[in-house]
Amino acid sequence: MSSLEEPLGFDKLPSMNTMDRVQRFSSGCCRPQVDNLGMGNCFIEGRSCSTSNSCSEDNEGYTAETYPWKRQTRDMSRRDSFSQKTTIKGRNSMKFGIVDNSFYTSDYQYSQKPSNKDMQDMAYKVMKGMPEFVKIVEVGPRDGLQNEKNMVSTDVKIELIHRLASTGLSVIEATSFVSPKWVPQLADAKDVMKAVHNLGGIRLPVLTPNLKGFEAAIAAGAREVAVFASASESFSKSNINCSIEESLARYRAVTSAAKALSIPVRGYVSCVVGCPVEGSVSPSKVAYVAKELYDMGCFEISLGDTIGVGTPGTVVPMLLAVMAVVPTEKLAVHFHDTYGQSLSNILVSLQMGISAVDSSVAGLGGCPYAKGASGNVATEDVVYMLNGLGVKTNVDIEKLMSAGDFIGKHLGRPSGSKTAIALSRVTADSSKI
Amino acid sequence: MHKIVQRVRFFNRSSLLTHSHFDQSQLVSAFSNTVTMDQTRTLQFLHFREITNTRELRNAFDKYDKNVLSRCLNWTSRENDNHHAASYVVNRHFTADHNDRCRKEFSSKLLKNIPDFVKIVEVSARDGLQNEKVIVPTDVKTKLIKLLVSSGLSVVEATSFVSPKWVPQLADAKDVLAAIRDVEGASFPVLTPNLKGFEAAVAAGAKEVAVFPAASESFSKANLNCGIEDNLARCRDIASASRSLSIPVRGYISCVVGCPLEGKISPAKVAYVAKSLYEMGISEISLGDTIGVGTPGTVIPMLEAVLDVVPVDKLAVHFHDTYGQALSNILISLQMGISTVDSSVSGLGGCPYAKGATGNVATEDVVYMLNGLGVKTNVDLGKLMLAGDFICKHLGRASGSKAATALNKVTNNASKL
Repeated sequence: MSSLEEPLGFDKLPSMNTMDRVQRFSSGCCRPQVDNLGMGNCFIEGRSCSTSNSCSEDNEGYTAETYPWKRQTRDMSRRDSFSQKTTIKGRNSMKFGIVDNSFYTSDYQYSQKPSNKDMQDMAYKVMKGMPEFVKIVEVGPRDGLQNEKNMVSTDVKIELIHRLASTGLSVIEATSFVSPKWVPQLADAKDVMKAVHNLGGIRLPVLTPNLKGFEAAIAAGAREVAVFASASESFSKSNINCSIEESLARYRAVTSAAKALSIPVRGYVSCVVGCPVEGSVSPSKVAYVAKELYDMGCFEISLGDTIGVGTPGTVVPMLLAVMAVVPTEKLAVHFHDTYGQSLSNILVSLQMGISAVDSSVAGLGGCPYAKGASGNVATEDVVYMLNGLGVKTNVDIEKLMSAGDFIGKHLGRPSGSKTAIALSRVTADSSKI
Repeated sequence: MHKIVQRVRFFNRSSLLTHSHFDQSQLVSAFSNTVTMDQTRTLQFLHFREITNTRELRNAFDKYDKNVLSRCLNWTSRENDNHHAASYVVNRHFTADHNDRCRKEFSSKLLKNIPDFVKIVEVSARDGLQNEKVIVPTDVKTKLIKLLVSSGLSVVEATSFVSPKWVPQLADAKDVLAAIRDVEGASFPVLTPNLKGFEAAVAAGAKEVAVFPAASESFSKANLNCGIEDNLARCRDIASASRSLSIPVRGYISCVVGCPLEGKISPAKVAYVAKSLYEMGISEISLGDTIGVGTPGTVIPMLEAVLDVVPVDKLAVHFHDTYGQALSNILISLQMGISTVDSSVSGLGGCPYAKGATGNVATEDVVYMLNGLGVKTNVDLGKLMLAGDFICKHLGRASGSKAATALNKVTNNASKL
């Protein structure tokens, strides 16, 4: 029986006929109602039902049944849900001697049309590892603005950070203490940091490429820093002018200085699936760099697909390699949408249990390696998907959209977020028919 | 020992890249100088189990000295290490190669169910052009269809026999069909709203037709001027007429996740319409998220309900990218076993319900993802991009495909660094 593969507990769910199950599964950011048609237009008029907070509070009583795949996750919140389900699979495959098709080697008759149970299993399988809460790390003010052609004034940057802070985001990357020679867009790092470092309840990490940058950041009031190594040797040399080992040595200096001051350090690994120079990047390389950063004291490692070439086919092996050496809860994913692949990559990462996602409001930040192509994934699109998945983010999508509008106006460019564009048009036209 | 085998196989994909089938003996010889005798023997006799257990992997990893490991596993940062990169040439390696190795080796449950082959149904010539502001002349449409067929697409929706009063962009339906009569290698379904349209289509030479009921009553009334049941009755007429002529009929269901009027749509409704279409002999049912609001949270229950009543091989998914959700919805559908995807080159076709917002998902983006997943499509991404460039020039708009945009820019800049 296919249920042999699954952890116990799912078998013990009360059996539901299709209608009940369908009703209960009907998710979205709104409360499922008793009558089949009665959802109202709340998901279209994003403005009225935009706060995942309020919806999920209403949904408190529904959560267990609405997303039955979450039942298991909650029970295993302390453990790695991915290894749990694969341990059992491992046992099963040893028993049968084959890995695939154990699904069908049981008594169960394989027929063209999968049964109810198989469908449940399939949906369960693909959604089981999904976390209940995903932390969104907003990189718009740093990674976004850093890669925009037009520069904005310090005031605009400060206002953007304030607006983002009011959306419910808990981590906003404020700026970078890299030399202004390399990143002129963020030359005002000190001023920005001085103005925002006291914002309560928000973490404001800043990028620091070396000890000097670290000291400047601390002097300006930073309480969290970030370092960035590359999984690709050539990219490291061309981008930060030193080999991977040299950069790691620099960061060891930063992390020990940070440790002395109790300052948390976030680690970025770039080119985790592909490099503009080398092409494909081996997952073991990524695992090595991630482990080094983790061992030197980074509290979180963000895996970045710098040129956006990843697809689930390359992302999954990479994540498997890294998750073997760094605990899943310490990992974040930072996908670029250059090839339009980021949301599906984020989805598969969530399925593997990752619960922190980097994104940029309005998709700020182009790709420096493909002029005119897009870069960061848009936070609004990510939040829209997470809301639809029933994953909590504490982010208010409407306020997020207004922050995106604000910066878009100042940069003189339209939003890079499809959700933002759709939601801002649709209220005008929904009564068109 | 078993664990070492796993880890070795897992981490040193470099030696596997050059072989399409995993060759045990070759791997053994590659490691014979760094691996002990015991381990070698084990490698020879053990069945190579794919990595399924992260915990085992982690345990195995921790036991070994990093230096030993780095020699075995080849992941130091020494200059010459990246020989595995040699199998990839910078130019188009991210796009055209099949990532078979990833899917076959890592039987992660997430990727296991994904079909080996996915059929792409190209809808730009109909659904795309129908929703573009600019009207394109017949010869441009014909050229577009020919370019699409030459890229390997086997199903290209050619046009629609809906009244030109409603869809002026496709008023030249008859002429388009006449012009592509001799094009081989693909089938060209056309939309037919009713029996009259069906007869006109057959007279013009159509060999495959499509009907389009909605899962939402209000949308059906507003968009097609009749309720769901009436629409299904019309579909039945077309289905029986086409049966006698051996013409396959494809069915589209619109608003499968959400409706601009009603809001959320119950999966049971969609299943009902799908079942009705299936029972009347429709050859394939394409589930359309007309306004693009779906996310895996709503798509999965909808697919579950439909898969309950229609076999998976009869189903296709037609997601709109209005909220940027299409690719993740497609991924989840693939994970649930769907193997036909509708898309539109360059993302042609805006959303009529949210002016300025996008509509269809771009075929180039879908093919890019499928290539990366190791799924066969028989579509050549380069040739597809040519078709996209061509039609975008004529429409005077930029491509709606991020993959195409990136690939067009990156070949200019790949040697930037």
